[in-house]
Amino acid sequence: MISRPKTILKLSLFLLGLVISTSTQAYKSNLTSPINGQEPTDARIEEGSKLFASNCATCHAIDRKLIGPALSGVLAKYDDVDYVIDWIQNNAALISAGDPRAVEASKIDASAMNLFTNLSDDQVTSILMYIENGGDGDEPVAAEGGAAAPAEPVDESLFGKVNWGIVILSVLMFVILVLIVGIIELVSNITGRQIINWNNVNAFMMIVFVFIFFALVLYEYSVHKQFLLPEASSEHGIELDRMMKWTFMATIPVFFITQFLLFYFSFRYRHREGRKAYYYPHNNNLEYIWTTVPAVVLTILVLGGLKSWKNIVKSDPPANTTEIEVFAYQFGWQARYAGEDGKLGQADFNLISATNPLGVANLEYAKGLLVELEEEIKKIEERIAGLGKEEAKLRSTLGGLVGEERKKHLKEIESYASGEVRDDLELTIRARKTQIDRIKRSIEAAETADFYNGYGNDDQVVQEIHLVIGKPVTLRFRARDVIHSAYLPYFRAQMNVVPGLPTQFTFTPTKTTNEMRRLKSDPEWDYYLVCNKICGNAHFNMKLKVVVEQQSDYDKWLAEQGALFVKAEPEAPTEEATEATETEETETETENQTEEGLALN
Amino acid sequence: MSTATAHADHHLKETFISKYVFSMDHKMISKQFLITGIIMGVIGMGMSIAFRLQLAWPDTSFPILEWLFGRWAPDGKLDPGFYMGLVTIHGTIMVFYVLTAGLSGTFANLLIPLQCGARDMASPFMNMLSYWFFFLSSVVLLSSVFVETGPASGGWTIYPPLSALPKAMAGSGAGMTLWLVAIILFIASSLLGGINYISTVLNMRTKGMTMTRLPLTIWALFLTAVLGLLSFPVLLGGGLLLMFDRGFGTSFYLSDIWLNGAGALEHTGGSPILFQHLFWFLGHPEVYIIIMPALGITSEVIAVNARKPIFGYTAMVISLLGIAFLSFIVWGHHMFITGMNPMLGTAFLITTLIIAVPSAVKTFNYLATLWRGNIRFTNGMMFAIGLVSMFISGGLTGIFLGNATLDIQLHDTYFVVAHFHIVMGSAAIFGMMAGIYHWYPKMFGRLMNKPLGYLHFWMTFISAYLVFFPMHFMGLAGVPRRYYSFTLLPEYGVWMDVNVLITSAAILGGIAQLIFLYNFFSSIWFGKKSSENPWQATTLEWTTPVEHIHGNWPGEIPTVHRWAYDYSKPGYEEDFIMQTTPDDGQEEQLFETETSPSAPDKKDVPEGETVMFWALIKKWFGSARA
Repeated sequence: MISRPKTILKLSLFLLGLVISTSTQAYKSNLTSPINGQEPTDARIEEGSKLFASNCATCHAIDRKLIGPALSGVLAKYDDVDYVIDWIQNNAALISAGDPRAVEASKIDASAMNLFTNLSDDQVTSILMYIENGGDGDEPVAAEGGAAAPAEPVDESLFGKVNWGIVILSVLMFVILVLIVGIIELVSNITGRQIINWNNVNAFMMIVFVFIFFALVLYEYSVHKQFLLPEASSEHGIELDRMMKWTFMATIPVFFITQFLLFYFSFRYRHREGRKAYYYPHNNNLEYIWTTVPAVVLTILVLGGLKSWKNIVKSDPPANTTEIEVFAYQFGWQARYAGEDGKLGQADFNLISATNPLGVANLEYAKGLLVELEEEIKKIEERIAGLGKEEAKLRSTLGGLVGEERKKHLKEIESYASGEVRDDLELTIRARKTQIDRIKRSIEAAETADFYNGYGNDDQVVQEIHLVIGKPVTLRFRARDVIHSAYLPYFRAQMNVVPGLPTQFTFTPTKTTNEMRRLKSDPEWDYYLVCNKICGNAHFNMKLKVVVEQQSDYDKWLAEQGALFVKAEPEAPTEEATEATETEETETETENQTEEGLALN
Repeated sequence: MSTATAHADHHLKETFISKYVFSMDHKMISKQFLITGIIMGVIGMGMSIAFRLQLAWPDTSFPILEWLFGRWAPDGKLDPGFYMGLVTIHGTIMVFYVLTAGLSGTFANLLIPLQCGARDMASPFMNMLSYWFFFLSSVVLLSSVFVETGPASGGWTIYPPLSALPKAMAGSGAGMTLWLVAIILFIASSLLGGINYISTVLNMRTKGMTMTRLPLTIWALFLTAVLGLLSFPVLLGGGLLLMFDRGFGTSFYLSDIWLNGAGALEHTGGSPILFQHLFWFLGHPEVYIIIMPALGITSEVIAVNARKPIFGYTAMVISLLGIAFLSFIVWGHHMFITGMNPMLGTAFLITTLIIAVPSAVKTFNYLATLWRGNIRFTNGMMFAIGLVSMFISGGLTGIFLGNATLDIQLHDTYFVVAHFHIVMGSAAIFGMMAGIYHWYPKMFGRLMNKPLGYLHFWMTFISAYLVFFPMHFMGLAGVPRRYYSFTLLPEYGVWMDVNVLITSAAILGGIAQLIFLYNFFSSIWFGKKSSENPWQATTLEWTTPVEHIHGNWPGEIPTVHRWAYDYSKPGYEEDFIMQTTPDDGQEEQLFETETSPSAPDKKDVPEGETVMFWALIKKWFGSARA
C-alpha cells in the first residue's frame, strides 16, 4: 500500500530538515548560489519567508502542489530569473502578450494567479531565495500562525498510526461473533426453538445505548468545554451568548428527557408473550398540552431573538463609529482605513488594477488606467494579428510528439484552428472597451457626481485590521470576485461579502489582543478574520489578522501606514496622453455605449 | 376492473426489457428507483469517506485515493479543488439522488397504489419516464467527475458568481454545466413523478378509502409530491438563469466583478442574492421533501410494530400539513447573514421557529405511540426508533440555527453540518432503511436476514452519532465548514483528534453499509420466503399476493371499511384488524352513500364528463369518520 523507498526518503529528508533547523550554522552552509546576481543571506531569506507567508502561502507550498504548483526547483525549471520575476509580478501581462511559457503555465489551473506588481524585484528575489533554500521544512502551509495541525511527518503511513494488533483482534472477534450467531440461528431453525430472544437483546441494548450515549455526550462536553463559545470579545457578543444560553436551557432538558423516554419506552414496553398493547388512539388534552408548551417556549425564544437581532444587525451604527472597509478577493483580505479626513473614498471595480487593488477613485489614477487599458487592447490586437504565426509554429512542432503530449498539442492546435483563441481575445477586448467607456463616463461626470471627491487620496490600504478597545467599529464589506464571508468568531460577528452588494457589520471590541493572550496564556495568539463561504480552491487558507489595542498604540500604528495616493499634484504628461486617446476613442466608441446600468456613480 | 381483465393483464407476454427495463409496473419502477438510489448512495458515501480521510490525516498518503482518482489525488493526497468537487457531488447525490429520488421514488411508487388500493399509477407511462429521466440525470451527474476540469465544486448550493465563472474555479467549467443539465433532468423526473403521485392519491383510491383513512405514509408522500411540484420549478428557473449568465452573457446574478485573469467583467446590475432566494425557495421545502416520507414511513412502522394505533392521527396529519405549508415561508433562514435585508431576517426568524411546533408534536406523538405498546423489534422498527432519536437530536439544534442572532455565530460552521446531517441526513436514511426492511417482503417476496439487520442497525446508529454529534462542539468553537485542511489557525489543531474519531466512525459506518448491501442483494435470491402479511399489518398492501402481478389484486380491489391503525383494539381476538374487515354497523352514513351500488367505479368515469368542483372536493376530502 505504501511505497517504502519513498517513505524512507521522506523520513531522511525530514531528519535532515531537523538537523538543519536546529543549527543555524548548518542552515548557512546550505545556501544556494546567487539569484538574480544577488548573494542569498539569512536576512534576505528571512525577508523572503515573511513575504512568502503573506503573499504566496495561501496558494503555494514549497514541496507539494496546493492550489498552484509546488515551488521548489522553479528556477531550475525555467532557467530564466528575469522571466520568473516578471511572471510573479504580473503574469497577466505575459499571458496577454502571448509568451508561450506563460500561456502554458496559465493552463495549470482554471483560476489565474494574482498580480504582485506591488513587490519590487528585490523582494521577489528574496522570495526566490527563500524558495530555493528549501523553505521552512515540509510544513504544508507556512502561514504566519504556523501550521496548526499536530503533523507528524516522521510517520508518513497510516500503518504506523494504527495499532494493527487491536484491529486484527477486533476483526477476528467480529467474525467469531457473526459465526456464533449464525450457528445459533441454524440450530434454532433446525430445532424449531428460539434460542436467542432478539427482542429482549435489542430492548436491553436500547437502554444500555441511551446511558452510554448520555455519558459520551457529557464526556465530550467536559473535554471540549473550554473551547465552546470562546470568550466573547465584543459588546453584543455577550448578548448573543445570553441568547445562546437561553436556547441551551430550553433545549438540553428536552433532549435528555425525550431521548431517555424514547429508549426507555422501547425497553419497558418490549414484546412479551400474552400481552396486548393499550389501545390509545388519541387524547386531545395531552395533544393540546404538547402543542401549547413548545409554542410558548418558542415564542419566548422568538421574542429574545428578535430583540437581539434588532440590537445587533438591524439598528444603524452609532455616530462615533470608525468605518473600515474590508475587501475580499480570491484568495485574501485587505482593509482600507479612511485616513486623515475620516472619510472612505469611493471605489469601483472598474478601477481595480495591480497598483490599486481596491479600485479606489482618484481622477489622475483613472486617467492613467485608461492609458494602460488602451495599451493592453493594442497588445491584444497585435497578438490577434500574429495568431496565424503562432498556429503555424505549433503545427511545425507537432512532428515527433507521441502519446499524451501529442494529444495535448493537437488540442491546442484545434483551439487555434476553431477560432477559440481569437474569440477569447476579442471578448477580452470588448470587456476592456466597456471598462474604458465606464471609466470615461465617470470622468466626464467628475464635476457633478460625488465619485472623484478626493476622499480616497489619503485612505490607507493595509494587510491587517487594528481596532481600538471600547470603540465601535463598522466593517464595510466589499468583494472583488465571488462571495466570501467575513467570520470573526471571537467578536461574534459574521457577514457575507458579496460582489455588487455592500454589506456591513458593527461591533465594539471589549478585549485587547494582549488581554486575550494573557487569558489564553499564549503569547503568540491573535484574533483572525477568516473566510466562511466557499469561494474557491484556497477557501481554507484566507485570513486577516485583527489587532485590538489601546488608542495610543492604534494611533501609532495608523500613522505608520502610508496614504494610497501620495501624489496630489497631477502629472502633466499623463493627462495629455489620456486626453489624446480619449478624443480618438470617443468617436469610435460612442455607438458601443449601450450599457445602461452604469456601475460608476 | 373485472377478474377476467386482471387475468388478461397478468398473462400479457412480457419480454425481459418490458419487465425489467422499460417497465410500467409501479412495483418494478419502485425497485428500479431503490436500486439506483442505493448505488448512488454507495458512491456518495464513498466520496464522503474519501474527503474525510483528508480531514483526519492531512499528511498521510493514501495510495488508494490515487488509484481511484488519478491526477486528482497526486501522491495519494486529495487536490484541494477536487476535495471541493467531492464535497459538492457528495451533497448533490445525497440530497437529490438518494434522499429525494431514492426515498420518495421508491416508496411513493410502491406504496401509493398498494396502500390506496389502485391497480397502478394514474399514468404508468409517465411513471416510467420519471425513472428514466432520473437514471439519465444520475449518469450525467456522475459523468461530470470525468471531465478534464473536474466536477462542479462550488458546494451543492452552487452559489454564483463562483459557479458562474469558470475562471474562478476549475469545477465551474464543464463540470458545472453537466451539474446543471443533470439537475434539470432530475427536476423533469421529479415533476413527472409528483404529478403522478398526486393524481393517484386524489383520484384512484379504492372504495371506502377516504382521505381520513389513508395511512400516514400516503399522507406524507402525497404532501411531499405537492411540495416538490410547487418548489422544483423555481430551482429550474434559477438554474436556467444561471445557464444564461454562464453562456449567453446575461447578468441575472452577476455584478461588479473584477476577476483575476479576466479583469473587470461586463456584467452589471445582477444580484447573487437573487440566486440564493431562488435556490432556497426550493432548497428549504427540499429538506421537508426529504424528511416527510421518512416520517410517514416511521409512523407506519412504529404503529405496526408497537401493535398500537399511531397516537393522534389527526394531529399527525395536521402537523404534516403545517410543516408542508410553513416550509414554503422559511427559506430565508439560510440567508440571515448573506446581506439580505435584516428586516426580512425578523420575518424568517419567526416562521422558522414556528415550524418547530408541528415537529415537536410529531415527536411527542411517536413517544406516546410507543408508550404501553407491545414492541416487536423488527429491523424496520429499530431504524424507525433510530429516526425518532435523530429527529430529536437534529431538530433541537434547528432552534439554534433558526434564530437569526445565533446564526451570526453558527452560520456555515460545523454546527450546521452536524444539524442537517442528523436531522435530514441520518434521520431520512434511517427512515429509508426502516422502509426497506419493512417492505422488503412486499418488494421481493422474501425476508432479509434478521441478525445481520440488527448488526447493520447498531453499527449505523452508533457510527452516525459518533460522526455527527462531535461536530456540534466544533461548530460551537467556530470551526468553519468546507475547509480542505485545518491549518489556517492554530486553534483548529485542537480538533485534530476529533477529526480522526469522526473519520474512523465514518469508515465503520461504511462497513455497516457493506453488511446491508450483502443482506439486501443476497436476500433477493436466498432470503427466507415471506408470507402474505409477515408483520401482521392492517394496510391494503398486505392483502396482495406475495408474487407480484399486474394490477396488484387478482380479483376485485378490496373495499376499505376502517382506518389503517386498528391495532390491539379491545374486544377483538387478534391484535390487528385489516382495513378490509367490515366494521359491523359502525360505518358512517356518508360512507354508505358514497359506496352505494349506483355510484360509478372511479375508473369507469366516462371521458369528457364534467365533474362539479364541489363534487370533486367531496370525493377527495370527504370524511368518513364519526
